[in-house]
Amino acid sequence: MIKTFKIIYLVAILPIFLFSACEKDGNHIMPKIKAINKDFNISGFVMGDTVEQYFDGVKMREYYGQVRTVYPLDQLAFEKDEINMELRRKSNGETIYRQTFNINDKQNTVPRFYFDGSNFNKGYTYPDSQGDEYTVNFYLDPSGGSTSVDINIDVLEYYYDSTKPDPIIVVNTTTIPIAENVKPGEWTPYLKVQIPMAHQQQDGTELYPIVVVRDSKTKDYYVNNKRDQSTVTMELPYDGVSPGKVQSIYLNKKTVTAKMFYLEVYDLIPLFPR
Amino acid sequence: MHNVGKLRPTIPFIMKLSLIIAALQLTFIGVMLASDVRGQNLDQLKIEIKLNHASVEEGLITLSQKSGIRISYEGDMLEKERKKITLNSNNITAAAVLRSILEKTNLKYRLFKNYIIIDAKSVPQQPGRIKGKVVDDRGEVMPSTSIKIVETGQTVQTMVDGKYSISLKSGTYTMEVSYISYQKQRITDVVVRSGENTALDISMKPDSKGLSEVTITSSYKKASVVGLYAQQKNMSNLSDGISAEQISATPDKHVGETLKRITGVSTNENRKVVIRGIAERYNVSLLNGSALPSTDVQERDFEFNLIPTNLVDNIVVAKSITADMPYGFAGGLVQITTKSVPESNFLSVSAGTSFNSRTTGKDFLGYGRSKYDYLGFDDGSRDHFPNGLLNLVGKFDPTKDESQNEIKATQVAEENKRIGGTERLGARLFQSMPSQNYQLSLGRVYSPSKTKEHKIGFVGSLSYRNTQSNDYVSSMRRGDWSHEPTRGDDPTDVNTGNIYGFNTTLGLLLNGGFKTESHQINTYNLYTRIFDNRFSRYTGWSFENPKNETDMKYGGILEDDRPKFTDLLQNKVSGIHRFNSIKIEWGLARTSLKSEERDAISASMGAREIGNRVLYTYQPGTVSDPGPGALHRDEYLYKENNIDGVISAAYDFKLGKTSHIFKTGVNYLKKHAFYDWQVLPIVKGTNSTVPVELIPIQDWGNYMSMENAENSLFYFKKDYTSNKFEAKSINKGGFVMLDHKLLPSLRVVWGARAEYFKLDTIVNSASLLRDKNVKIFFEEKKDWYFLPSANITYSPLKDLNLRASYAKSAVRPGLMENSRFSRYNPNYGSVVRSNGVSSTLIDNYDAKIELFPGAGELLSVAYFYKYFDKPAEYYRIDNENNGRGYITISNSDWAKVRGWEFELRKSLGFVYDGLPFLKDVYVSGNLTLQKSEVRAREIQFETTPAGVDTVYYKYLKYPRALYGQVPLLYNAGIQYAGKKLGLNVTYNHAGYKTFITGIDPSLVEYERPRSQMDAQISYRFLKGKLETKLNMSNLLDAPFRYFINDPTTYDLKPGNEGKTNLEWNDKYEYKFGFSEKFEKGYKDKATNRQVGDRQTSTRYTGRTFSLSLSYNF
Repeated sequence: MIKTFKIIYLVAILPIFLFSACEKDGNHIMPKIKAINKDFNISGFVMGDTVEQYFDGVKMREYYGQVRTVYPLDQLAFEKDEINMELRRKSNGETIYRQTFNINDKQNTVPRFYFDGSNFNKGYTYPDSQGDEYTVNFYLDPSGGSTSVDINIDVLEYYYDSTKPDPIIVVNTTTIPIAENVKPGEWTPYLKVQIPMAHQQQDGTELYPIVVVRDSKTKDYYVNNKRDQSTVTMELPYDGVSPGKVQSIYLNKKTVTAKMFYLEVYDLIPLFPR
Repeated sequence: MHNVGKLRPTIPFIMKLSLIIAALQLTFIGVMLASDVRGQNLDQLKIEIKLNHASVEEGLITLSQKSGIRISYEGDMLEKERKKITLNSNNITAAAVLRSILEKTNLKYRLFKNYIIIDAKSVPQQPGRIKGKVVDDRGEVMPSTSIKIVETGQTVQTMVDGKYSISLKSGTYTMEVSYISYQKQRITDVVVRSGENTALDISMKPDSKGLSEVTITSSYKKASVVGLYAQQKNMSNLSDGISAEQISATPDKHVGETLKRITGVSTNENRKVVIRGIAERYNVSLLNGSALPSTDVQERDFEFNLIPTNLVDNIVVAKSITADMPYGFAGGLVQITTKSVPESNFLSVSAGTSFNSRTTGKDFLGYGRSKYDYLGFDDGSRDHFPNGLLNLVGKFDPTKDESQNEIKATQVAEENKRIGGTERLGARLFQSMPSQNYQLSLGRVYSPSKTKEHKIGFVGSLSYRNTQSNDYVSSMRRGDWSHEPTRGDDPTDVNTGNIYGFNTTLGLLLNGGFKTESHQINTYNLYTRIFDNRFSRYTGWSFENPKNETDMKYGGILEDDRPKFTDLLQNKVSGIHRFNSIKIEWGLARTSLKSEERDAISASMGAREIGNRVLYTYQPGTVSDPGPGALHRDEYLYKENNIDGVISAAYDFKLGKTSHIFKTGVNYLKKHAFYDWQVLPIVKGTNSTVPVELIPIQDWGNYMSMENAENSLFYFKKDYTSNKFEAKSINKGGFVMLDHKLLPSLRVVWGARAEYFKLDTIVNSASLLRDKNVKIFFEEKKDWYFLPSANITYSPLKDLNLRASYAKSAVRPGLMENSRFSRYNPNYGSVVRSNGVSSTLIDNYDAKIELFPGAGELLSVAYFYKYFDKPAEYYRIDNENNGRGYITISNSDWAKVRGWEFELRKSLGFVYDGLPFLKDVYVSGNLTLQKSEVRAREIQFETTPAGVDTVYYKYLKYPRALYGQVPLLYNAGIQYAGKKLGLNVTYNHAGYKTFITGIDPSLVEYERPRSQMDAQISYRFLKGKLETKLNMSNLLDAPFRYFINDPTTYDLKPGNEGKTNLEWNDKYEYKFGFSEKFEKGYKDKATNRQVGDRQTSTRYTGRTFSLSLSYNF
């Protein structure tokens, strides 16, 4: 009896195992792409809180600072006819913007946006320039620390000596303040930028104005305590020929290694042309 | 049985009722109420009866009703009967009805007073059996020895293999064993139980006083212990083994599991055998005396799990060499002998399943399967390699005008069509299934003569197994993969992968034989079919394109699918013949192996981050690729035919009181191998705009019409050579050996072999364009070698053996080891190539002390020293200085290995007599400690002024460890083998091992120490007929971890800047805190780079739980 049961059991089980499992094709794991639209564009500026970009619920990347589209990120691959994009605040997951792209759209463009950490704006607003006046406001990103900074024009009087490891030999510096005690996390008012004026003290030297950032308290250079790493690239007025300009300078001291930093600088005005 | 019928009127009614109720409650007795009956009436009492498919009980009730006869029976007894009765008669006697009902049942009837009582027929008592083997004081089997059962007078003679078997009723017997010039033995208290085997191996002692009648009397218990001792003690060489009886006490299903139980033997995934910590290359495996071919072309391995344990007669691993062994080795010789003529009939079926913690229920990826993969066959969907495909190299370029191409686009389109589409390509997800295995084994033995000891029989086995595995590789930094993360603090910058294994194995074994007291002829036939599909899928960054945050933010994917079908057929005939003092042994075998990788596919996917996703795209190759390119489908066909023959003669003689054996013989082994391969790259034209990103790879075949040649995909067959390899080797030898038993306690075995080896490479095509002009330098110093050997065994005390041996042996190169075939191995991240390998000569010295404290107990210490002349090792060579190199097998100058081996096997019976089960608990352990040193050499190529290519070697002065050698190896286990319950826990530890060697530490890869724990539980039900086994392996889920001493862990010694010709040891030194062993290191804060050893590969195989049921009929 046991023999009979055993054999019946085996005969029954064997084909069940064998043939129930005979999957031939399986399910392809690579999705089929219906179309690739090569005209996707997203641009803007993010500060105060990181913005996360999701496509169809899948997080793709984070934005902080300038948002722009470079190759090959200017392409959208359509598995279905539509793709849903969401921008969310990283701190609380709140969706701050939604947009749906269609496979038939020739262009998939996200309107240029400015996110200041709490509000999502369709653009960055700024005043017009007044006459030949140069005005600027600054934003010091708090992620670089709580230190307040001074921002000055340093007019360097230097000569060039190619035999030295550092061939720029500065013999004199004239400091012209632009902003003092700039606190992290808030825009300064628009401040007037003076025309950098200085007089040569030595013969055979040149004058060169730079904008540098210093620690308000210690007066040390802000980044790695080095002048050349603490400079801000911005346009300065020249005596008599400047047409007038408004600049919005965003500064962010970023970490390279534990003790090495660099200064990220953006002027928001050209990013949001009128 | 309760006997109840209709009660006489005088008995009170109440008694009747209570008795009936009690009886019903207790025994389900059927009760018939009827009138009196007498036996003689039954044949006269005629009745009318109608039974239609009625049960026995229904039949009896009807009979009782129709005839009025009281019938008494036990309900339980009738329930066991399945018989159905159909009977239709108007005039039939009650006796005829009763006979008809009870016919072909296990029931009978009898008359008792006025009742018919139904009883069970008495079951004839099954005989028991005494069986075993008779050996002499050297452990040699003794045929034609008389064994007499004193009580019954039954006499049998042992067969040519010394075995005997006597069938007896249960009882206690006395046996007398006699052979001329040996002391007669009388063994008392041999207990035979019904249906059971009583094992008794007997050791005979020579009668030193000539023909005087001396009888030794001993009890069964003592004689069996002596018999077991004799086998352990009397081997002429150093060896360890496991017999069928010992195997049957384990839960092992196949030889792969059993090998690990033998001292000093470990296996790598049931394939590669490591003996005494010496790698598989220096070990030889024989099945029934014939060498097993490797089931892999580029590595030496054999799937030992093909051989079920219930067909194994014994496994012996010889660790020292005697001249009569036809194959040279350095670690050990694994001799697996399967049964041919069983001692008794058997039929067993088994079924099992297993679950792996990393496979079962998890994602299982692979390329398209065929309908019959589970059966081990292909349905034709991998058939993409028609004959006569055109070589397109230099003859077709889609960018050229049609008139400039020798082969036209229409011809290419035609070929594309013949080759077929790409439906099978592209990774897909399957449901992983538990492993399953089934086996049917049958053994039959017949005795054609009732007067003579003749036996003829066969054993056969049919087995099926399907196993699915998913190895997770958590770190891959070998060869072409990135060697370190770009940033030390980026945990995502790591290369990972999976190796999905799908294996179906069918095995058919059919052995048979005929044996008498003096002759034995056996035939061994093994056929196995293996379908083994390895699908590797790795994700990560390459050495050339490491991770960066711009265009290499996401790692690419490398896929490699290798469906391999292997057929192995071994047929062998062998014989043993005894003519008085002469014993002749011979064997003739034919082995053929066909291994076909059909539609092996290599593919890679680039990862490109676009706006909304990471786009993974399969990359086609291009016409201008120098090699097979990024995507190709291949076919590899390997065939090997071996013929081997051995014949030997041994002559026993005596000189005074000393006995001797003179043995001589010859052997011949011819191997012939063929290898063909075809590689079909899938390419697109240089300026092609085929939108491969939008076309799933399985649809690429739809874009191969070549109507617009420049914008088509097509198969671009590239043959730089003939894509063929053919070689044959001849290995023949002769030996002379003398075995002297000089004193009762001293045995000397010595002799010598003369061995010839010749390897002829007939066709040797290069598989890579760059190797087209590469020559293989095959340096075999001479064809003939003289290989002496000697073994001395001295037993100063009864339970003590002292052994010493010396032997010279030669390990030969494999046929493919001198080919110019190269192939990328995805799991090594490198190409594996050949540089030419010659034979390795080994001088083996062994010494061993063995103590046998009790039956089955052993305590031993051994020392060994081996000198390898030209050891072959796996090297990583970086001639192109690209930091990655390739792997090849090459001869070093010499190696020395010396080591200690300790073994303990002890019953715990001595702990406390009050717990008898402790006698069945054994603790065992073995420890191998060894050290090796190699003088490495580096091959240098030079062209003489006369334009002749030559090679010479640059020798390295600093020795290092031998490839594959494990300096520390130990096994510890505890085993309980009760009659029904078996428990077994083993712990295995292997220390650092050189996995791939090289001349520079940055190329040498080591395996880190690994510990594995396994446990087994078995239980026998139904008088031992049904056995269940639960195996739990790799309980610790210990990973296989490999590493390379990274250049970040060592510095230039002061003053060595710019010196290029210094050896590493002269030029560099390890930084503080680092050594040759594994050190994880730290992240350098200044550079944000990892400083530490490179974890080249970490692979997890998961825990496996398998359950099997086997039933012996």
